[in-house]
Order: sequence, then structure tokens, then C-alpha cells
Amino acid sequence: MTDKTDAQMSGEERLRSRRKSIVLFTTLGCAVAMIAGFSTGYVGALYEDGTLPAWGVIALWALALIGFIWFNIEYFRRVDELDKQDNMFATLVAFVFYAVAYPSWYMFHDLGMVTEPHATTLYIATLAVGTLTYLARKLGLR
Amino acid sequence: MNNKLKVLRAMRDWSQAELAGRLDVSRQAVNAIETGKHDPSLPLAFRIARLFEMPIEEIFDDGQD
Repeated sequence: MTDKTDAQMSGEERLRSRRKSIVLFTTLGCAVAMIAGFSTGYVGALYEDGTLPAWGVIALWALALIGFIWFNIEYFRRVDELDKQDNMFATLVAFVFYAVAYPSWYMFHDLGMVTEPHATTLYIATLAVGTLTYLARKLGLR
Repeated sequence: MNNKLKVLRAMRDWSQAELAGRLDVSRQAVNAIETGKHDPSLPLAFRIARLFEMPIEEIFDDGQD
């Protein structure tokens, strides 16, 4: 049995195939990212015991960076304009959050009211704001 | 921007998913256009016009007339 060509498919079949392709691509991307994330501990250990030279660590980091950039470009090529807009909007909100959060925290720290700004906390909060904004858009809050 | 997408779709007895597949966009995009929450890009507006074989201005109305 042969698969239907794009022209032979109904709109609903085409949509299902398109959705399946995006879900598969995203799932594979996330799986690769997770494996890469878990491998950092192993790579770190290899570097610390002298098995892996510094250039090896830099090369692996560059490879991961190229993979990350490629994944994002490919993702934006596959999704439609509404999803691109939702992604861009969420990114903008996250950026504005960071642009306001860091100087605000710094100011309150300068006044002796709070502890020093914490980079990891700001990083996680920025990602959380971006993700929540994207999900809100996906739920139709436009 | 107002549009007649829902009416045109109903006239052909198409679901939102059917129209989305024909336009190569997500069902959410069709829904957002129909409910006026998203104005389509010019290339997508042209695809819609071509699909329904109508001029763009007969499908979309910016309320400026």
C-alpha cells in the first residue's frame, strides 16, 4: 500500500500529517536536548580527570550550540505564522520581564532591602515567564 | 479586522481542521482568524483568497470604507 500524495489528501488528513511531523520533530529535539543535558556531567568529569582536553569541551559546546540554533531555525520553518507570533510575543514578554526584574532587584539590594541579585533565579524566572506567556496564548488569551 | 472566513467555510461544509489543512496552517490559526484575534499575513490572506476564488477585499474588511 502506498501513502497518499499531498494533493490526494483531504485538508484534515494534511493537517494531521503536519501536526504529527511537528510533534515528532519537537519530541526528538527535546530528547536530544535531554541527553545532551545529562551528558554535561559526564563530559565535566572527563575534563576534570584530564581525559578530555579543554578544546574538546569547547568543541562539544560549539556542537551543542549549533544543534540548538539549527533546531530553532527548523522549528520556526515548520510552524505556522500564529505559532511564530505566539513564540515572538512570549519571548518579548520574557525579555521585558528580565529587563525590569534585574535592575529592580539590584535597586532594592542597593537600598539594603533584599539579597544580591541571583543569576540562576533570574534565568529560571525569565524562562518561566516566557513559557507561561506562550501557554496563555495557546489557550486563546490573545 | 472583520472577515467572512467562517461563512465561506460553512458554505463549503468544511471544518476548521479541513480549512487549516488546505491552507497549511494550524486549526488554532483558522480559529484565531475567524474570531478576529489574529490578522493573517499578506501571503496567507492571498492563499485564503485563492482557495475561495475571491478577491481579498471581499473576504477581509478593515472597516475603513
